[in-house]
Amino acid sequence: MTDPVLLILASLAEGDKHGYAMMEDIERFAGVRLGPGTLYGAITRMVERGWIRGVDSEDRRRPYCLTAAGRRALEEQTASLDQVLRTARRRLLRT
Amino acid sequence: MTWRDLQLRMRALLFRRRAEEEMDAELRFHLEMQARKHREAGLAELEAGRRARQEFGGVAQVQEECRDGRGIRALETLLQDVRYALRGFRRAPGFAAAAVAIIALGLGLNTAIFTAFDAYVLRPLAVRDPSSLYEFSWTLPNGREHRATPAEFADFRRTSTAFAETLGFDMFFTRVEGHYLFGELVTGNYFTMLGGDAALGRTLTPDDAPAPGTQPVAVLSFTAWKNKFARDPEIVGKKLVVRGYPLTVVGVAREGFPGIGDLPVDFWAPLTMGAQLQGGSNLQRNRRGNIEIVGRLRRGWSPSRTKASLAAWAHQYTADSPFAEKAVNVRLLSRASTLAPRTATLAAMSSFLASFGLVLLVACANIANLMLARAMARQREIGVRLAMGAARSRLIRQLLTESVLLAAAAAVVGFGISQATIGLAVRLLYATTPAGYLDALNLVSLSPDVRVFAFMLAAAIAATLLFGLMPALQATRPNIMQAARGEFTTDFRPSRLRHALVIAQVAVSALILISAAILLRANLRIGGVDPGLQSAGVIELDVEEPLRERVVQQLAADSLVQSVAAAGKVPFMGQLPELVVRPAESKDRHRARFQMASPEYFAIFQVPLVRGRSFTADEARGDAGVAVISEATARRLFPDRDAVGRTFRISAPHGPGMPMFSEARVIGVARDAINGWIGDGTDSTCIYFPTTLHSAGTVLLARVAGNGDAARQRLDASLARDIPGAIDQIHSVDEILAVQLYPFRVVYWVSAALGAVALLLTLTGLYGVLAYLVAQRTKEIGIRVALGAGWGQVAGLVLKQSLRLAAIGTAVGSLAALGLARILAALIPNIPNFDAAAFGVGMLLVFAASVCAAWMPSLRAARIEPVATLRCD
Repeated sequence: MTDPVLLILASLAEGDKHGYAMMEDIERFAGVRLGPGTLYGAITRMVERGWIRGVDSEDRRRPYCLTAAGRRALEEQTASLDQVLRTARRRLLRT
Repeated sequence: MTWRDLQLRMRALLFRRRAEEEMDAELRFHLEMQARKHREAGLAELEAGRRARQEFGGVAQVQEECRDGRGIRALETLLQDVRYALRGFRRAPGFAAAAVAIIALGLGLNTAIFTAFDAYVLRPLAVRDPSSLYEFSWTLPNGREHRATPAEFADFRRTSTAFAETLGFDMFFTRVEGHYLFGELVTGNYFTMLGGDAALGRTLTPDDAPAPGTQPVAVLSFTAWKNKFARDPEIVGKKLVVRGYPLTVVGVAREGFPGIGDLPVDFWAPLTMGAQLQGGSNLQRNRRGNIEIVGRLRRGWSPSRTKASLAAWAHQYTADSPFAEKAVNVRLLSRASTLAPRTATLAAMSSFLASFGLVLLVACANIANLMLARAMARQREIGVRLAMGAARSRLIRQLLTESVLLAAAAAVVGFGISQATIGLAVRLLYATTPAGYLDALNLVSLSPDVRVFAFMLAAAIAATLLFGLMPALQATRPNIMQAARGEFTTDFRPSRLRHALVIAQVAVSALILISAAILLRANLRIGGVDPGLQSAGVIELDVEEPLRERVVQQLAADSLVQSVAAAGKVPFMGQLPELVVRPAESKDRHRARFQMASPEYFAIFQVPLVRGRSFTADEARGDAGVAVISEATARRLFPDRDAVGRTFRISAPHGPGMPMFSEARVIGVARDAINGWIGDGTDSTCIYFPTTLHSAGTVLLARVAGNGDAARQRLDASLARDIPGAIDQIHSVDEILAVQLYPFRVVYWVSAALGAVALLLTLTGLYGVLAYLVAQRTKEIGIRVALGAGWGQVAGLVLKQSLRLAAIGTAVGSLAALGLARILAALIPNIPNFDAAAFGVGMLLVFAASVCAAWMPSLRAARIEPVATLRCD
């Protein structure tokens, strides 16, 4: 899983958002500003993989939401990262 | 890629427009939000918009990234290329039509010959587990293949454990109720082992063969029942008289059951009927061993393991046999398809396939030249696209897409051509086969199957690569710097490649035409050879022994019949048998061929006796130790003296068809003739031993008045009416000769047709190159004419180019033909290693075609107006 994908999943875990809102949210919680190409390219790939899907909307804003598969993918990734972080902290404390 | 991925990609492809619109809307919204953020931060509207666009970056790049994310890039590009190619074809329909037609011709012809190859060699027989069926035989010290006698077959079944189950069969050709049929004598387990069910009645079982001659039953094939017995619903229980013996039809095999054999079988009878139908006193049929053994591999046994077991058995079985009958090797051939993959069969088929493949090569080279010319005309466009950053691979893919579309269309048309070719070939076969053998034509189904379609696909792909790849690679190599400077000239001329393609076409045409000329001259040689005997008006009759006397009496009384003779075998039908002789005054032993001949034989064929006399009736009746020898035999056995009166000893086992004496005195010398196979030419040796019209096992020969074929039919009808079942086969000797020559004629016709197609394609290819050359050098020619060059000089410019290409191609083709001629000389009789006249004819045809190809371009060049061309500069 690439960073942009993880960041987008994390952003959508809070609730449905359109692309611009995701970019703003990610910049706030991760300090990373994703470029439009990276953002929308990742969004397209994640829609293809079935991790997120577009929500029907009347206006030009097209919010996306997390699917059950996306939620599972996020849970797996966070658990894996969590394991890495705990190991790293433990080792740091020993030295 | 999973099924879900494929679904997503198909959906993305089908709803692409909607996806694009949504993406555009989203990106526009993103820009607006960014601009609003800047406005809220205090920037002016215009500045806010500019800042937002700056931060966003290239919209097109973002769109491309999104498209890449959909995973259908390749499909979208392909669709683009297809649309582009189709637009190009609409602009140049003549080019597209010509390309499709030429490739279709090559693909169609190749598919036609492959269909025949598939039907006979690749298609599994419609029997149970055909891939496990193998034919076993052993070879003798003289290299000949030995087939089992009934006793040997019985021993094999009893003592060998190499196969899981074994069947035996013996194929023969006979006439039943006026129809020529291929019959098989088979073991009782034949149908159960092969999984052959009955459509009517039942099939043969082991109970049908308890003891020799006890169960005269037969099973018809479905095809024979349909085509030769008019689907008679009452056929089961009827009697068919086969070689004088009535066989009761007990059933009809299921439709599509082919049996095992090199030809489709018409009926089956128990192998225990062999003595009645195949052996006995009939010399033509009482062959020492002719049972073909077919076994099924044991589970888990490989063919090599089975072969080793069979070799051990064969060596042990023949250990006590005379040296000449010992097994030195064994043969294990797959019987999965109609024709067993014998070396000779595969060699013949491969050479046909290769010849047709060469025609496809010529077609591809032709189209490659056209594609190259077309690509050259697009140099400006290609240069611009390369300058703008298009990858070379992308352009090559686009050009190849055009080739794929042409090949796909050509494959569809080519399939139609292949079916039409097959239909035409079958009709021609029936139209040209000698009339007396038409009934014996028994072809397997030539309908296409999955292998044929796979071949077409592979051939189309190969053709695409052959005619599309080279021009694509060549055309995408323009000089970028020139393009960058705006210099889109057509100076880039890949003439070397174009010329190489034309030379290749000329070489292949020369090769095929020289081969056709070699085969034609061989045909003329064989057909024109004087056989040394007059066969016109002589009819051969293969008589059922119990009725021989009645037939002889009827022939003697028939006003149509001028004279009757008897012989061991009819001339031209295969080689004469051999024995070993030793002149009485010499210790030298000689192998010599011999013919049993009644006293009337020499007169009936008008073979003159140059010394001495023919047999008397008493000598023939009494098995007197006398012989007439041919001139060549006299020169061999008695080189320095008159052969008449000399004696020689005969080392040969006595038996049916063999002389009954160990010593013979020469009473006459006959002019050299061809009594054996026509392809071998005049008999190198021939000793005539006496026989009579009444001797069992001989064929009768009747000289008739008038038209041979009409006489044959009349004679056949009268004998069938008066003595039903007396004649197994009846042919005119001329027809027998025609059938022997027929395969050579077919090979010649096919190679001549291929040569004509290849030459026509080469002609068009050469014409294209020369026309392009004239177009390219219009300015130069205009200048030459302005400086005083005449019509002849200008035309000579074009002609010289044409002849130069033809000369190189012909030289290459002739060198290849030299090698091919040696192969043909080894395979086909009457072909010398080097036939100068054939080479001359082939090369002349190619040169003549080259001159024709240069004609129009030369005229065009000669008509170039220098004022007009120089003004256009």
